[in-house]
Amino acid sequence: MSDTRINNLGLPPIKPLGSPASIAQPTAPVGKDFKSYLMESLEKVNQLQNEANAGVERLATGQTDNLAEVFSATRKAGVAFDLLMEIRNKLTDAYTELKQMRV
Amino acid sequence: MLMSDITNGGATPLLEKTLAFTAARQKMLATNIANITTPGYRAKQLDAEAFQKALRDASQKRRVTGGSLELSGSKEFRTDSVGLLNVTPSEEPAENLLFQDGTNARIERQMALLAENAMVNQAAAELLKGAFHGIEKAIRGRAV
Amino acid sequence: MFGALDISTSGLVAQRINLDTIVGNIANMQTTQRVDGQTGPYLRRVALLTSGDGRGGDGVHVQSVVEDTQSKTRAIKDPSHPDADANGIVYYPNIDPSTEMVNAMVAVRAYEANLTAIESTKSIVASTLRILA
Repeated sequence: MSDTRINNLGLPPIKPLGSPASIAQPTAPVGKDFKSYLMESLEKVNQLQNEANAGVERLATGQTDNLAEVFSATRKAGVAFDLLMEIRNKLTDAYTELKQMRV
Repeated sequence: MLMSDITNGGATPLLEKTLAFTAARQKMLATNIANITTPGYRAKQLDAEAFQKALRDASQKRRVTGGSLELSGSKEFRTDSVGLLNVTPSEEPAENLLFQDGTNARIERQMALLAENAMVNQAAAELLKGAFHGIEKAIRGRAV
Repeated sequence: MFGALDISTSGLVAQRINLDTIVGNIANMQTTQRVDGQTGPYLRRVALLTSGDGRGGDGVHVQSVVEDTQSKTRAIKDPSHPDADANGIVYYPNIDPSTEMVNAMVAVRAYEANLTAIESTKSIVASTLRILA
Protein backbone atom coordinates (compact mmCIF):
# COMPACT_ATOMS: atom_id res chain seq x y z
CA MET A 1 0.00 0.00 0.00
CA SER A 2 1.34 3.31 -0.87
CA ASP A 3 1.24 6.03 1.80
CA THR A 4 -1.05 8.79 0.88
CA ARG A 5 0.73 11.73 2.10
CA ILE A 6 -1.66 14.26 3.53
CA ASN A 7 0.40 16.92 2.02
CA ASN A 8 -0.38 15.89 -1.46
CA LEU A 9 -4.12 15.83 -1.18
CA GLY A 10 -4.06 19.22 -2.73
CA LEU A 11 -5.77 20.91 0.06
CA PRO A 12 -4.49 24.30 0.78
CA PRO A 13 -2.50 24.51 4.00
CA ILE A 14 -4.37 25.77 7.08
CA LYS A 15 -3.43 29.25 7.82
CA PRO A 16 -3.21 30.28 11.46
CA LEU A 17 -6.01 32.52 12.78
CA GLY A 18 -5.29 36.18 12.73
CA SER A 19 -4.51 37.90 16.07
CA PRO A 20 -7.48 39.40 17.95
CA ALA A 21 -6.17 42.88 17.28
CA SER A 22 -6.76 42.64 13.58
CA ILE A 23 -10.43 41.74 13.94
CA ALA A 24 -12.46 44.75 12.82
CA GLN A 25 -13.90 46.75 15.75
CA PRO A 26 -17.64 47.56 15.62
CA THR A 27 -18.07 51.26 14.68
CA ALA A 28 -18.78 53.66 17.59
CA PRO A 29 -22.50 54.73 17.85
CA VAL A 30 -23.31 58.03 16.12
CA GLY A 31 -24.33 60.81 18.54
CA LYS A 32 -24.27 60.96 22.36
CA ASP A 33 -25.18 58.22 24.74
CA PHE A 34 -28.41 58.21 26.68
CA LYS A 35 -26.94 59.40 29.95
CA SER A 36 -25.59 62.68 28.58
CA TYR A 37 -28.87 63.21 26.72
CA LEU A 38 -30.76 62.90 29.99
CA MET A 39 -28.40 65.27 31.79
CA GLU A 40 -28.78 67.85 29.02
CA SER A 41 -32.55 67.62 29.25
CA LEU A 42 -32.37 68.22 33.00
CA GLU A 43 -30.24 71.31 32.41
CA LYS A 44 -32.66 72.61 29.79
CA VAL A 45 -35.68 72.10 32.06
CA ASN A 46 -33.88 73.93 34.86
CA GLN A 47 -33.00 76.76 32.53
CA LEU A 48 -36.60 77.08 31.34
CA GLN A 49 -37.81 77.19 34.94
CA ASN A 50 -35.33 79.93 35.80
CA GLU A 51 -36.31 81.96 32.77
CA ALA A 52 -39.99 81.60 33.62
CA ASN A 53 -39.33 82.70 37.22
CA ALA A 54 -37.33 85.70 36.06
CA GLY A 55 -40.13 86.61 33.65
CA VAL A 56 -42.74 86.50 36.42
CA GLU A 57 -40.54 88.69 38.59
CA ARG A 58 -40.13 91.23 35.80
CA LEU A 59 -43.89 91.28 35.33
CA ALA A 60 -44.61 91.76 39.04
CA THR A 61 -42.08 94.60 39.36
CA GLY A 62 -43.41 96.35 36.29
CA GLN A 63 -40.29 95.99 34.15
CA THR A 64 -42.35 94.40 31.40
CA ASP A 65 -46.02 94.39 30.55
CA ASN A 66 -45.85 91.57 28.01
CA LEU A 67 -48.35 89.28 29.70
CA ALA A 68 -48.46 86.76 26.85
CA GLU A 69 -44.72 86.17 26.87
CA VAL A 70 -44.55 85.58 30.61
CA PHE A 71 -47.52 83.22 30.67
CA SER A 72 -46.21 81.32 27.65
CA ALA A 73 -42.78 80.96 29.31
CA THR A 74 -44.35 79.49 32.45
CA ARG A 75 -46.41 77.04 30.39
CA LYS A 76 -43.34 75.99 28.39
CA ALA A 77 -41.37 75.35 31.57
CA GLY A 78 -44.29 73.33 32.94
CA VAL A 79 -44.62 71.20 29.82
CA ALA A 80 -40.87 70.52 29.67
CA PHE A 81 -40.95 69.48 33.32
CA ASP A 82 -43.92 67.19 32.65
CA LEU A 83 -42.08 65.55 29.76
CA LEU A 84 -38.97 64.90 31.83
CA MET A 85 -41.05 63.51 34.66
CA GLU A 86 -42.91 61.15 32.35
CA ILE A 87 -39.59 59.93 30.89
CA ARG A 88 -38.36 59.26 34.42
CA ASN A 89 -41.56 57.41 35.27
CA LYS A 90 -41.34 55.25 32.15
CA LEU A 91 -37.71 54.43 32.92
CA THR A 92 -38.52 53.44 36.51
CA ASP A 93 -41.42 51.30 35.32
CA ALA A 94 -39.21 49.58 32.73
CA TYR A 95 -36.52 48.97 35.34
CA THR A 96 -39.03 47.50 37.77
CA GLU A 97 -40.36 45.24 35.05
CA LEU A 98 -36.87 44.07 34.15
CA LYS A 99 -36.05 43.36 37.78
CA GLN A 100 -39.05 41.11 38.08
CA MET A 101 -38.17 39.08 34.98
CA ARG A 102 -37.24 35.49 35.78
CA VAL A 103 -34.14 34.62 33.91
CA MET B 1 -34.64 75.33 54.89
CA LEU B 2 -36.28 73.02 52.39
CA MET B 3 -39.79 73.94 53.47
CA SER B 4 -39.21 77.68 53.38
CA ASP B 5 -37.38 77.47 50.07
CA ILE B 6 -40.20 75.54 48.48
CA THR B 7 -42.93 77.94 49.56
CA ASN B 8 -40.97 81.21 49.45
CA GLY B 9 -38.68 80.63 46.53
CA GLY B 10 -38.61 82.49 43.27
CA ALA B 11 -41.41 84.76 42.25
CA THR B 12 -44.10 83.34 44.59
CA PRO B 13 -43.71 85.97 47.37
CA LEU B 14 -43.87 88.77 44.79
CA LEU B 15 -47.15 87.42 43.50
CA GLU B 16 -48.52 87.16 47.03
CA LYS B 17 -47.62 90.76 47.77
CA THR B 18 -49.23 91.84 44.51
CA LEU B 19 -52.47 90.13 45.54
CA ALA B 20 -52.35 91.91 48.91
CA PHE B 21 -51.82 95.19 47.09
CA THR B 22 -54.81 94.70 44.78
CA ALA B 23 -57.04 93.81 47.73
CA ALA B 24 -56.07 96.97 49.63
CA ARG B 25 -56.45 99.05 46.47
CA GLN B 26 -59.91 97.66 45.79
CA LYS B 27 -61.09 98.83 49.20
CA MET B 28 -59.64 102.29 48.58
CA LEU B 29 -61.21 102.57 45.13
CA ALA B 30 -64.58 101.52 46.60
CA THR B 31 -64.27 104.36 49.12
CA ASN B 32 -63.45 106.89 46.39
CA ILE B 33 -66.43 105.76 44.32
CA ALA B 34 -68.82 105.77 47.29
CA ASN B 35 -67.79 109.38 47.97
CA ILE B 36 -67.90 110.56 44.38
CA THR B 37 -70.63 113.13 45.16
CA THR B 38 -69.57 113.96 48.72
CA PRO B 39 -68.75 117.67 48.89
CA GLY B 40 -65.16 118.46 49.82
CA TYR B 41 -63.94 114.85 49.56
CA ARG B 42 -60.39 114.33 48.31
CA ALA B 43 -59.73 111.00 46.60
CA LYS B 44 -57.06 108.67 47.97
CA GLN B 45 -54.65 106.76 45.78
CA LEU B 46 -52.33 103.77 45.92
CA ASP B 47 -49.87 104.18 43.09
CA ALA B 48 -49.18 100.95 41.22
CA GLU B 49 -45.83 102.14 39.92
CA ALA B 50 -44.62 103.05 43.39
CA PHE B 51 -45.64 99.61 44.61
CA GLN B 52 -43.81 97.89 41.76
CA LYS B 53 -40.70 99.91 42.51
CA ALA B 54 -40.89 98.91 46.20
CA LEU B 55 -41.24 95.29 45.05
CA ARG B 56 -38.22 95.64 42.79
CA ASP B 57 -36.08 97.04 45.61
CA ALA B 58 -37.17 94.29 47.98
CA SER B 59 -36.39 91.62 45.38
CA GLN B 60 -32.96 93.16 44.85
CA LYS B 61 -32.33 93.10 48.59
CA ARG B 62 -33.39 89.47 48.79
CA ARG B 63 -30.97 88.57 46.02
CA VAL B 64 -28.13 89.99 48.09
CA THR B 65 -29.04 88.92 51.62
CA GLY B 66 -31.30 85.91 51.06
CA GLY B 67 -34.20 85.18 53.37
CA SER B 68 -37.78 86.23 52.82
CA LEU B 69 -39.12 89.14 50.79
CA GLU B 70 -39.35 92.35 52.82
CA LEU B 71 -40.57 95.74 51.68
CA SER B 72 -38.91 98.48 53.71
CA GLY B 73 -37.71 101.17 51.34
CA SER B 74 -40.94 103.12 50.81
CA LYS B 75 -43.15 104.71 53.45
CA GLU B 76 -46.32 103.73 51.66
CA PHE B 77 -45.64 100.01 51.37
CA ARG B 78 -44.05 98.05 54.17
CA THR B 79 -44.12 94.48 55.39
CA ASP B 80 -44.79 94.06 59.08
CA SER B 81 -43.16 91.59 61.46
CA VAL B 82 -45.34 88.70 60.26
CA GLY B 83 -44.60 89.45 56.61
CA LEU B 84 -47.99 90.91 55.73
CA LEU B 85 -48.22 93.98 53.54
CA ASN B 86 -49.20 97.31 55.13
CA VAL B 87 -50.25 100.14 52.85
CA THR B 88 -50.72 103.83 53.55
CA PRO B 89 -52.84 105.55 50.90
CA SER B 90 -51.85 109.05 49.94
CA GLU B 91 -54.10 111.81 48.67
CA GLU B 92 -54.47 112.03 44.94
CA PRO B 93 -52.75 115.16 43.60
CA ALA B 94 -55.11 117.99 42.80
CA GLU B 95 -54.28 118.16 39.08
CA ASN B 96 -55.23 121.85 39.10
CA LEU B 97 -58.85 120.88 38.81
CA LEU B 98 -61.24 121.35 41.67
CA PHE B 99 -64.89 120.84 40.96
CA GLN B 100 -67.57 123.18 42.19
CA ASP B 101 -68.35 121.03 45.20
CA GLY B 102 -64.69 120.80 46.22
CA THR B 103 -64.05 117.22 45.10
CA ASN B 104 -61.22 116.18 42.81
CA ALA B 105 -62.14 112.57 42.06
CA ARG B 106 -63.11 112.01 38.47
CA ILE B 107 -65.43 109.11 38.06
CA GLU B 108 -63.88 107.98 34.78
CA ARG B 109 -60.43 107.62 36.32
CA GLN B 110 -61.79 105.64 39.27
CA MET B 111 -63.63 103.30 36.89
CA ALA B 112 -60.50 102.76 34.81
CA LEU B 113 -58.44 102.03 37.94
CA LEU B 114 -61.13 99.58 39.03
CA ALA B 115 -60.85 97.63 35.77
CA GLU B 116 -57.06 97.66 35.90
CA ASN B 117 -57.04 96.45 39.49
CA ALA B 118 -59.24 93.47 38.65
CA MET B 119 -56.99 92.49 35.74
CA VAL B 120 -53.78 92.70 37.78
CA ASN B 121 -55.39 90.59 40.49
CA GLN B 122 -56.47 87.93 38.03
CA ALA B 123 -53.05 87.73 36.36
CA ALA B 124 -51.25 87.39 39.70
CA ALA B 125 -53.75 84.79 40.95
CA GLU B 126 -53.36 82.68 37.81
CA LEU B 127 -49.56 82.77 38.00
CA LEU B 128 -49.66 81.87 41.69
CA LYS B 129 -51.99 78.96 41.00
CA GLY B 130 -49.60 77.75 38.29
CA ALA B 131 -46.64 77.95 40.69
CA PHE B 132 -48.41 75.92 43.37
CA HIS B 133 -49.63 73.44 40.77
CA GLY B 134 -46.07 72.88 39.55
CA ILE B 135 -44.80 72.20 43.08
CA GLU B 136 -47.63 69.76 43.75
CA LYS B 137 -46.93 67.94 40.49
CA ALA B 138 -43.28 67.52 41.41
CA ILE B 139 -44.18 66.19 44.85
CA ARG B 140 -46.70 63.72 43.48
CA GLY B 141 -44.37 62.52 40.73
CA ARG B 142 -47.23 62.23 38.30
CA ALA B 143 -48.58 64.87 35.94
CA VAL B 144 -52.21 64.49 37.06
CA MET C 1 -62.39 92.09 50.83
CA PHE C 2 -65.78 92.34 52.42
CA GLY C 3 -64.91 95.79 53.72
CA ALA C 4 -64.90 96.89 50.08
CA LEU C 5 -68.39 95.41 49.62
CA ASP C 6 -69.71 97.25 52.67
CA ILE C 7 -68.22 100.50 51.43
CA SER C 8 -69.82 100.17 48.00
CA THR C 9 -73.14 99.26 49.61
CA SER C 10 -73.01 102.41 51.71
CA GLY C 11 -72.51 104.32 48.47
CA LEU C 12 -75.61 102.67 46.98
CA VAL C 13 -77.73 103.54 50.00
CA ALA C 14 -76.52 107.14 50.12
CA GLN C 15 -77.14 107.70 46.41
CA ARG C 16 -80.61 106.23 46.64
CA ILE C 17 -81.53 108.60 49.46
CA ASN C 18 -80.00 111.41 47.42
CA LEU C 19 -82.10 110.47 44.40
CA ASP C 20 -85.26 110.15 46.50
CA THR C 21 -84.70 113.66 47.81
CA ILE C 22 -84.21 115.06 44.32
CA VAL C 23 -87.28 113.26 42.98
CA GLY C 24 -89.28 114.64 45.90
CA ASN C 25 -88.18 118.13 44.92
CA ILE C 26 -89.28 117.66 41.33
CA ALA C 27 -92.64 116.29 42.43
CA ASN C 28 -93.25 119.24 44.75
CA MET C 29 -92.30 122.02 42.37
CA GLN C 30 -95.72 123.62 42.63
CA THR C 31 -96.52 122.81 46.24
CA THR C 32 -97.51 125.99 48.01
CA GLN C 33 -98.46 124.44 51.36
CA ARG C 34 -96.26 122.85 53.98
CA VAL C 35 -96.79 119.61 55.85
CA ASP C 36 -95.87 121.10 59.20
CA GLY C 37 -98.52 123.78 58.85
CA GLN C 38 -96.18 126.78 58.77
CA THR C 39 -96.82 129.46 56.20
CA GLY C 40 -94.80 129.38 53.05
CA PRO C 41 -94.22 126.90 50.29
CA TYR C 42 -92.48 123.55 50.21
CA LEU C 43 -88.77 124.28 50.42
CA ARG C 44 -86.15 122.48 48.35
CA ARG C 45 -84.55 119.61 50.26
CA VAL C 46 -80.90 118.58 50.07
CA ALA C 47 -79.36 115.33 51.24
CA LEU C 48 -76.05 116.06 53.00
CA LEU C 49 -73.49 113.37 52.25
CA THR C 50 -70.40 112.93 54.39
CA SER C 51 -67.58 110.43 54.14
CA GLY C 52 -67.43 107.63 56.67
CA ASP C 53 -70.24 105.21 57.30
CA GLY C 54 -71.45 106.93 60.45
CA ARG C 55 -69.98 104.22 62.66
CA GLY C 56 -66.28 104.92 62.29
CA GLY C 57 -65.65 102.86 59.18
CA ASP C 58 -65.02 103.85 55.61
CA GLY C 59 -67.69 104.68 53.08
CA VAL C 60 -70.31 107.40 52.84
CA HIS C 61 -73.58 108.18 54.55
CA VAL C 62 -76.31 110.79 54.49
CA GLN C 63 -75.82 112.93 57.56
CA SER C 64 -79.22 114.57 57.28
CA VAL C 65 -81.77 115.82 54.79
CA VAL C 66 -82.10 119.57 55.31
CA GLU C 67 -84.20 122.28 53.75
CA ASP C 68 -82.56 124.83 51.52
CA THR C 69 -83.36 128.13 53.18
CA GLN C 70 -80.72 130.07 51.24
CA SER C 71 -82.16 130.30 47.74
CA LYS C 72 -85.12 132.54 47.22
CA THR C 73 -88.64 131.32 46.69
CA ARG C 74 -90.58 132.53 43.67
CA ALA C 75 -93.18 135.16 44.31
CA ILE C 76 -96.16 135.29 41.94
CA LYS C 77 -98.95 137.81 42.24
CA ASP C 78 -102.21 135.88 42.25
CA PRO C 79 -104.82 137.22 44.70
CA SER C 80 -107.39 134.57 43.77
CA HIS C 81 -105.13 131.72 44.93
CA PRO C 82 -106.22 130.11 48.22
CA ASP C 83 -102.65 130.37 49.60
CA ALA C 84 -102.18 134.05 48.68
CA ASP C 85 -101.02 136.19 51.57
CA ALA C 86 -102.42 139.60 52.55
CA ASN C 87 -100.73 141.26 49.56
CA GLY C 88 -102.03 138.74 47.08
CA ILE C 89 -98.60 137.15 46.61
CA VAL C 90 -98.28 133.38 46.34
CA TYR C 91 -94.84 131.96 47.12
CA TYR C 92 -93.75 128.96 45.08
CA PRO C 93 -90.89 126.58 46.02
CA ASN C 94 -87.27 127.47 45.28
CA ILE C 95 -86.92 124.44 42.98
CA ASP C 96 -85.35 124.83 39.54
CA PRO C 97 -86.15 121.84 37.30
CA SER C 98 -82.91 121.90 35.33
CA THR C 99 -80.81 121.89 38.49
CA GLU C 100 -82.79 118.98 39.88
CA MET C 101 -82.52 117.03 36.62
CA VAL C 102 -78.75 117.47 36.48
CA ASN C 103 -78.44 116.43 40.12
CA ALA C 104 -80.61 113.40 39.39
CA MET C 105 -78.33 112.36 36.55
CA VAL C 106 -75.27 112.71 38.77
CA ALA C 107 -76.92 110.60 41.47
CA VAL C 108 -77.87 107.88 38.98
CA ARG C 109 -74.37 107.78 37.53
CA ALA C 110 -72.85 107.56 41.01
CA TYR C 111 -75.26 104.73 41.86
CA GLU C 112 -74.20 102.81 38.75
CA ALA C 113 -70.55 103.42 39.53
CA ASN C 114 -71.01 101.82 42.95
CA LEU C 115 -72.72 98.85 41.26
CA THR C 116 -69.71 98.45 38.95
CA ALA C 117 -67.41 98.59 41.98
CA ILE C 118 -69.38 95.74 43.57
CA GLU C 119 -69.10 93.62 40.41
CA SER C 120 -65.38 94.28 40.29
CA THR C 121 -64.94 93.30 43.94
CA LYS C 122 -66.88 90.09 43.33
CA SER C 123 -64.61 89.18 40.42
CA ILE C 124 -61.51 89.81 42.52
CA VAL C 125 -62.80 87.55 45.29
CA ALA C 126 -63.64 84.86 42.71
CA SER C 127 -60.19 84.87 41.14
CA THR C 128 -58.50 84.84 44.55
CA LEU C 129 -60.64 81.85 45.57
CA ARG C 130 -59.60 80.05 42.43
CA ILE C 131 -56.06 79.71 43.81
CA LEU C 132 -57.31 77.35 46.47
CA ALA C 133 -59.49 75.30 44.16
